[in-house]
Amino acid sequence: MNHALRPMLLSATLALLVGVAHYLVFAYAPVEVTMGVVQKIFYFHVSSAYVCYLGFLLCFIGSLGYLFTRKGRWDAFALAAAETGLLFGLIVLTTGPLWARPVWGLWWVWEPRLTSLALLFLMFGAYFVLQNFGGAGEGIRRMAAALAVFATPNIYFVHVAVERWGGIHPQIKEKTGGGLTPEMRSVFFFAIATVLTLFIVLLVQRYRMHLHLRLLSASRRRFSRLGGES
Amino acid sequence: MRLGRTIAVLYRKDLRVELRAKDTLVMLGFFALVLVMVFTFGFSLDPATNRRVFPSIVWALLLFAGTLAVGRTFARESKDGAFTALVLSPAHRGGLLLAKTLVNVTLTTLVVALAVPVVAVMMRVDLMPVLLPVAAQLFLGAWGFALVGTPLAVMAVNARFAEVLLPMLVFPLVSPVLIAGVTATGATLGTIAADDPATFVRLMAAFDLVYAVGGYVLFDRLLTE
Amino acid sequence: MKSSPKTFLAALLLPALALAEDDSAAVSLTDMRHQHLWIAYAIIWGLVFVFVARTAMRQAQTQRELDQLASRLDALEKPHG
Repeated sequence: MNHALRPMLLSATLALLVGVAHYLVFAYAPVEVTMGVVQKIFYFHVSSAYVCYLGFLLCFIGSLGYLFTRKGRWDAFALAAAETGLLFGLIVLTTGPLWARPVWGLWWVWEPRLTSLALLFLMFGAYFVLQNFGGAGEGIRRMAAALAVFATPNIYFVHVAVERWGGIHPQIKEKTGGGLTPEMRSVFFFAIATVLTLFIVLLVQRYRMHLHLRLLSASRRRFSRLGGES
Repeated sequence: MRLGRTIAVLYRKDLRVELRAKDTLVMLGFFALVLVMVFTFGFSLDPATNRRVFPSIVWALLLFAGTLAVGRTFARESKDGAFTALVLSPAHRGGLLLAKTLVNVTLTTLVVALAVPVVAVMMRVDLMPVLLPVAAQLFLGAWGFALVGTPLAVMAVNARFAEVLLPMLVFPLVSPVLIAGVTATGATLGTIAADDPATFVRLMAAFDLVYAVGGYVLFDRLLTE
Repeated sequence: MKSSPKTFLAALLLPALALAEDDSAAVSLTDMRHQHLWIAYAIIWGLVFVFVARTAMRQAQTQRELDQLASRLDALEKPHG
């Protein structure tokens, strides 16, 4: 396929998907009885949470791959996955309170799912900071990879700890209210597909960007080795 | 048993260095006293409230002490190329990690053992009846902190902003230990209506085990030769 | 109305006041719902937009520098054979 045409086609498809998803969310899906219109945040909020977890999982896999193969590609992939995961994590953490406030009357509750996502966000935020500002060099990349690997079993411990600790905090009803109507369910699936597509496209772009950045710094090193002046 | 010997030799070496140099020990001692001041000034309330905030204070103290110890893990070795020498030595790297973890646990425990009784006296919390369980909980917590922090402390040798980055990386990772520890101590003191404290102790023990094995397996791949 | 520093400050404070109002009983939870829905979707697409724009800009910059460097590398390597 034509190289100039491909990104345009991709963007058009994405725009179409997003447009249809919004139409479905706002016009097709019925308004939830108890929570009202604000429940419509659910479709993108929960899909974002899924791909956020997916991003962190891919970062974990990429980091393991990097530690065991020592190939820079794995590290670039892990970093791209973490960054894309953090984007969707930020979406989840900002839309969540906006939804919770009118429904529960509270902005935030220390509930296992919320807490583990918030802590996971902090851990991969630290990973991101380390990769971007910790300095160049393989030592830092390995350290970051180790951090990503260490962070993953942590989810389990956080979950268990918060669950047991939660005795004194208000228990929350299932956010979805348990009952999604069939229309709601199909809109939800469409939203997941849309967000997942968006996630994959962004991840691939980010991955390519990091590969290019690495190529650039390698070329710079080669350039100065050859005695060039920058 | 080569692993055990590696750990024992390295641990004894580090302990001897610390005892001869004394600088770290003296600094840690004064740091403990400063921490006591900060926390007791911040929370001098009525006895009942003191008892309620006591677990949080003790565990925050542990976090600060642990950060200090872990941050200095390779401080001596990073000079004079001794770190490279240590890494290149035939000693098993997992053993090296465990020995360094043990040193950090020792230092953290020392600070906590010094500071906690003073805090208890100043806040008028009677620790005597619950001394053993609380000490055991804190000891497990010190292990959790050191097991997560020590491998990441290698970074302090070559990262920029290491002194900021290290707590930033370690604190979220030890949050399960912190939650479990505060709850267990609170339940032991009878100020938190939670499950049996043993549940949280088991959780901390499982955490320690997972990170001990994980660090042991990964540490070799973390170092650049 | 002539704008003065005072009216400007008042305008700055208005959103803050509105937010403070949010917590009182004056704004019912039902009224809040529409507002929060719009804010949520604005945040979602705002964040995605910033992410895409930053990625595209950085990618373009990297590509430019790579091309520059490649041509200079060629020039450097040619004379030596």
